[in-house]
Amino acid sequence: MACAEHPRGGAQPRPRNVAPLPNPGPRPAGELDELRRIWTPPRGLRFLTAINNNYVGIWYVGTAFLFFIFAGILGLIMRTQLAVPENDLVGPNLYNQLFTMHGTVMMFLFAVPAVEAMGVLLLPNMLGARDLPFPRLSAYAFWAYFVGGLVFFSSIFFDLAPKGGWFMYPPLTTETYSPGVNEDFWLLGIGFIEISAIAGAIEIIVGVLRTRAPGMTLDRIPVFAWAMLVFALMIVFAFPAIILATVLLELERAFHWPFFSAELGGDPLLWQHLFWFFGHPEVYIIFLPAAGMVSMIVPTMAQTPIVGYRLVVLAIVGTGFLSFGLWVHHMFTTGIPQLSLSFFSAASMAVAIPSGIQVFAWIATFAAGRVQMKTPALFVLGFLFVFVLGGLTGVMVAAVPFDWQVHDTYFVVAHFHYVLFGGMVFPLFAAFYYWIPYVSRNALSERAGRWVFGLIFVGFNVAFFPMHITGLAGMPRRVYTYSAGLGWDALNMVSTIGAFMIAAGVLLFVIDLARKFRMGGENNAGNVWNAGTLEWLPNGNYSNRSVPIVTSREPLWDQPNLAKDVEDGHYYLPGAPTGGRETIVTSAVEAKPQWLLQMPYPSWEHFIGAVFTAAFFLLLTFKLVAVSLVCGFIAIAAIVKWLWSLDPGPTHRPVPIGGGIELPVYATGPVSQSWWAMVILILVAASIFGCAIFSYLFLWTVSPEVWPAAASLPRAVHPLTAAVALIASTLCVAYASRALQRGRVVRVCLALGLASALMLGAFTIDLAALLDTRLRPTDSAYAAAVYLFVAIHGFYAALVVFMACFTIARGIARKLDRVRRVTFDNTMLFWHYTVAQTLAGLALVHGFPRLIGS
Amino acid sequence: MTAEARPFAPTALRMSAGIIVWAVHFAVIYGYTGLACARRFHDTGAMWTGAVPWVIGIATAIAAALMVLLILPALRARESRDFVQWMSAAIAGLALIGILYEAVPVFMLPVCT
Repeated sequence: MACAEHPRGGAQPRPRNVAPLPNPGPRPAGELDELRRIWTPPRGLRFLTAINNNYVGIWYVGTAFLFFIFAGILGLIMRTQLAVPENDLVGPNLYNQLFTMHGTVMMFLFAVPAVEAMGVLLLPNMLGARDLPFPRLSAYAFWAYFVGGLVFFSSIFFDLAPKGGWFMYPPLTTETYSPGVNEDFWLLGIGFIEISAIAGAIEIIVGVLRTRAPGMTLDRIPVFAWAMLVFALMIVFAFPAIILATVLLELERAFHWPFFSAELGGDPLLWQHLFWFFGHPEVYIIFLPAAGMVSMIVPTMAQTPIVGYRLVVLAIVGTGFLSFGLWVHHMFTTGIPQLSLSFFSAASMAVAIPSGIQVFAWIATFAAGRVQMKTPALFVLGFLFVFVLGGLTGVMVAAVPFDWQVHDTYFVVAHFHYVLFGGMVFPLFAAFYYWIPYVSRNALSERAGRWVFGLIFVGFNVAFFPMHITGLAGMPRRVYTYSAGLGWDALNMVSTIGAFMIAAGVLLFVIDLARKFRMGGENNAGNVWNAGTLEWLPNGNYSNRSVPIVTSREPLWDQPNLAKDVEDGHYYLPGAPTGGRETIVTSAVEAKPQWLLQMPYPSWEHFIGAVFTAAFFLLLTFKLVAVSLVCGFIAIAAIVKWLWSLDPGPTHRPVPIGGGIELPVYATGPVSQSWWAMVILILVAASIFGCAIFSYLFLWTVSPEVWPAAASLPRAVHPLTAAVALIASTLCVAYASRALQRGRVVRVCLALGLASALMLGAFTIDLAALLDTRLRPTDSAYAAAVYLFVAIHGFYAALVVFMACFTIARGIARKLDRVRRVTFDNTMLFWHYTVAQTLAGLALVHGFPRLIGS
Repeated sequence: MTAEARPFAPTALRMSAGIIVWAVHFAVIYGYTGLACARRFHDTGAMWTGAVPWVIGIATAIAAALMVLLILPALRARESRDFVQWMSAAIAGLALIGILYEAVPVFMLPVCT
């Protein structure tokens, strides 16, 4: 692999970037072979259990691309149907399934997994880690998605695919208007995607914050890693809304809890609020990582550092948070007061500011350097053209009166394809061409690449630009055919021709991929672009031979000999001092080495857990409850076995990693990766709960008539008793923590047992008091909302009691002591959170109606 | 184990302060307007305009003042090398634009039509 040179200053170092080598001398013979042996993935059938990020990342990207092709084929069928008026190629029933699956698969099975996959593939090397902190979690996320996604997709072959649009609006999707299991496939099928996305998000957040190379302070993090961090945080706050929404709609469909039925006090708009609170940030969840990729590609293509690094990071963070204030702009035609709409209209225009910052930064970077007009650069330029056009029509539809005119027309179809295809697919192709030399022995063909770009770029504009006009001419979305002579005929034919041009481009790309792509391992094509970031260091299954000290944003440009010194093992952790897989955990802000994380080996548990998680959700769709429960049980059993192997304790003495630094190999408390993951999981749980509170208050706002008088509520003594029991349980857990500090494991087990009894007691009181009122969840939206909170209470109570039992079992098995306490800490954190959440729920359900005096 | 000179939680909180205030402001102005219109109490309350514009105005003034407090230290600093300080102020600046821009329509539109 060629050593990178600074594009401006040749190989001359800048004095500030000279850092002493931690391991300057020659390395012992056999050290590298040992490292190779440890990180080699298993062979044969056990290859499926591999967890190295380079293998899982490639599978993940490949699967996402497969779904892009599948959903693209659905798009082609639709375009063929619409090519001429009054076509009878497909009927309305299949057409409804086609557009629903096209949108759903593109969003849930292609776009989000694709960018998450690129994170798994690139981040460890880009950050200088051996792997992300939870490699089995990444693999679990992948397999749940792979198996579940394929089964979900195949529903279209059996007339079982959902047909309510990718946004599944009730009342159309309620059981009354959509009987059968088609919509259930969507509601439950999306379940494993949500789990997979959240698992990936936790991995990425902890990875970016805690496994960066020493010296990679916040202002030296590659822009892609910043984008992935914001992406993952957005998943944490946005996906809970769709999780709750799907639960509510499934409860309504399966058990008639009337959250969305207006006649019983429900409101279909509740779905729209929850769906778009997820759905709009989702657009930016897809766009930001793509923008992050562009911010990596542009400086390399221009051979100069990105202009305005801080502004670009600001733009990523700014887009991330402003995108949560846009959701109602999908609901401009629902009768919400104009002033309320204008808040969202303003926020929709404000979000153009950070997007604009990024666009100008890329243009300025191109202008500042000497651009190599290679295929990745072409796709970036295509992205800029298409995305800016989509952004401009975005500002148009952000204006409420204009949106009223074009709502549900092909103008909107044109707009969001310009934004999504332009903002995500073009950058993704740029990324494929740019990073394939990092994983493959050969780069892709430059000549074919130009044809691929030409076909896709021209095809895209031929397909989607006319749709603006088709929409302004009045053609509505989601119609399976149209009458001749309405002025839409020629426009539709042109769009169809464009769609097939895109398909030809993608086909050519696949052919080139088949010809050129060969997994590289240690023999990848290397730094063919003369890029400056760490993923272009020589690498193998173990990532980099040694972990560099980072002194700038483009270390390969600024630190001469970095590649050779890393490969010769002159930086940190040149071998495997504990004899196993490991990576350095660094502090979140300043990236100082803190401890050495011992990483897991491949195992079947995450694979079995993932397959049966997907099976659980999908079988539930067919109302095969018993089989589904068996699958759920197998999934849980596999995951428990996996968990049992975690928390190894201090199995090894502190080890030297070079430069006089000796790191412990075990950590507990806030410095451990496990603590961070648990805190993020709590944020997810809190977001779901926040959405439940919103749902309760929203239903009360629209239907106060179904809220009961205070006299008909359960007597106050019941919730108060439950609250006392909950507080007592949390005190027991706090006591157990202190007892564990003193090594009194028996007392810990007893205290956890008592806490569990109190937790279950509190739930029993809560449920019994409610049942006693003779209120039933099917009575009204109020009743459904109240039972929702009791159900949440029960779910969390069961979860923490299960965690307590697991912790007690660890105590009995002597896997718990005053040092080895990560399992206990996780249980403790989640327990305290559960109590706080349940108390808030009790206060809302029992206190709110009394407070408002209804 | 090396000590961290800059603990993560306060740093993250400082950098997200602008975001949090923006989110609370947005929730207050949208939530209050929605409630006032649903329950028809928008035309009662203070002075001649009804309660909603006053609530939006006061919430906006408080949020904007908090943003200025976050931005000032960065402006006063002699050099802007500190990434965390710069980013906290820049995020607050962007949030301030959002806060003011989102509140402007209250001068232009009737409350509940």
